[in-house]
Amino acid sequence: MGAAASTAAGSLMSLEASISITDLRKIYVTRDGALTSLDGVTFDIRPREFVSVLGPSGSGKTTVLKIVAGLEKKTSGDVRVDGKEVTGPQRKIGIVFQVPALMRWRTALENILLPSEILRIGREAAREKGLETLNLVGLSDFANRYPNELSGGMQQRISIARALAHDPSILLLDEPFSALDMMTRNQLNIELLRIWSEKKKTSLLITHSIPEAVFLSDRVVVLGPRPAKVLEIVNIGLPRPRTPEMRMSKEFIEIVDHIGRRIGLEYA
Amino acid sequence: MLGKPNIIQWIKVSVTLIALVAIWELACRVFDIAPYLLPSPSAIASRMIEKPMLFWGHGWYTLYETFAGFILAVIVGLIAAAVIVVIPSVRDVLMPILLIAQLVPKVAIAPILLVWFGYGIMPKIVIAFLVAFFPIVVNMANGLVSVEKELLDLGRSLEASRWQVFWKFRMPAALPELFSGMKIAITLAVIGAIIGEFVGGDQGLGYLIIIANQELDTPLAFAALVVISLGGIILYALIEVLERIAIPWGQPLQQPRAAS
Repeated sequence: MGAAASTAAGSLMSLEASISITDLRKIYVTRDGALTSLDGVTFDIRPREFVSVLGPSGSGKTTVLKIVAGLEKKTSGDVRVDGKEVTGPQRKIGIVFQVPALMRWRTALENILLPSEILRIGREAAREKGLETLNLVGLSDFANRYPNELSGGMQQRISIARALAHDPSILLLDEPFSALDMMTRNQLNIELLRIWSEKKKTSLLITHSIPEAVFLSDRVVVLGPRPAKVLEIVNIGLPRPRTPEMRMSKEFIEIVDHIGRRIGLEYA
Repeated sequence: MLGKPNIIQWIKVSVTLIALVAIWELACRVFDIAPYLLPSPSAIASRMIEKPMLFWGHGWYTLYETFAGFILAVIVGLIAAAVIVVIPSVRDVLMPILLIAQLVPKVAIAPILLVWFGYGIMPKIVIAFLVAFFPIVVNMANGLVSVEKELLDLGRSLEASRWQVFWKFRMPAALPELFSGMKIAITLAVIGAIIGEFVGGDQGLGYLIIIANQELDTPLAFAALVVISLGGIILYALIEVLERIAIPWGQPLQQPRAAS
């Protein structure tokens, strides 16, 4: 759907990135036979939309992200970014992994500058952009610290900054906060909300936290247990800009409750 | 290896060592032990002071062999490790061969090397190289593959070239392992050089020990041993210093991995 809109105007392509996934299947061949991980997953992400894929552990939700990122091959189906079939990794995508995956031999700023080095972006411009991104994630004071001097939450913020530093049009987040404690996680949810409001990147978040998905997303794609199918795509009607207080609202709790029941029923 | 040098710990170690040497000295005097059986520390020290040039000359020779063998091992080891890691088909063949070769007692090859390379400095360098080579390759190869999977995924997502992945991702990640390999290698290189001198030759501290033994000049043999040990400690310390400079981002590996 977003395909037609984005391919029409080349210059708008990076600004108006979209993702469309149709009937995606992934079958792993293991020693015990074929294992179906994704069984016909269909959804799309409109330009500048924030969509979460929510599912229980082992539901194959990370596989969706890896296939969109071009890091893993699909078995069948159609996956398009900006209307173009995904055939491999592409630089217009920034990824945040489950672990910070920082280079421990580089300072915070140097870690953020890594993508621009690989893409051979001019040193001065890259540095300026890097400092700006570091500021965006609120870690300007830690530019010259090594990762092992930073807390887990800070490391993951550096990782988010690194994903944004080369200004990709799409942001993929693979359970970025699942290794953090509850309080840090809540805080980083608020941070991510703020960052997204400033940058408005087309975003795909993989998570198993229902409140996290509801709080951040425009829509939530609920996956069932293995083999994963889309149970429901929930429109999150909460207005933007969102505030932390909204997590206490009746509306928010109702949506969380609804999704919880939807997943619970599937397992009953 | 010990993390930050701890002053109190240093003092404890030094005091213990001094005490041990004092007990040794005392035992030699009280029990009147024959010097050719166990020379007293003072007898060893006086030997060293009597003929400083002797130790100096032979010491340099051994140091040269050790260092040449070690440097050669680092260069060849780094290249071998890089090839093993970057070209998977080579790894599948070379890795098992290396592991088998590691089990061959290099010391036993020493007499054969003498046949091939003569009695000069060459066979000693080759033995030092052979014994130092394996820990370097094994540790370096381990280090090069130790990069986090997610970090490699990041590299792929940015379409980094093989070259970039090697220099920016693998090399720095491997440095701690490389240094722990080098620490093992340098001590082994000293042993290799000495073994080479034992087998044949007319220079070096190993040769000096052989001569001292033949003349039942045990204090001289002990003196040579002290010089060898001091040299080994200094070389090891030099690598630790280099490690601290090369790896400013934090703790080196806790323990050098035993590779031999």
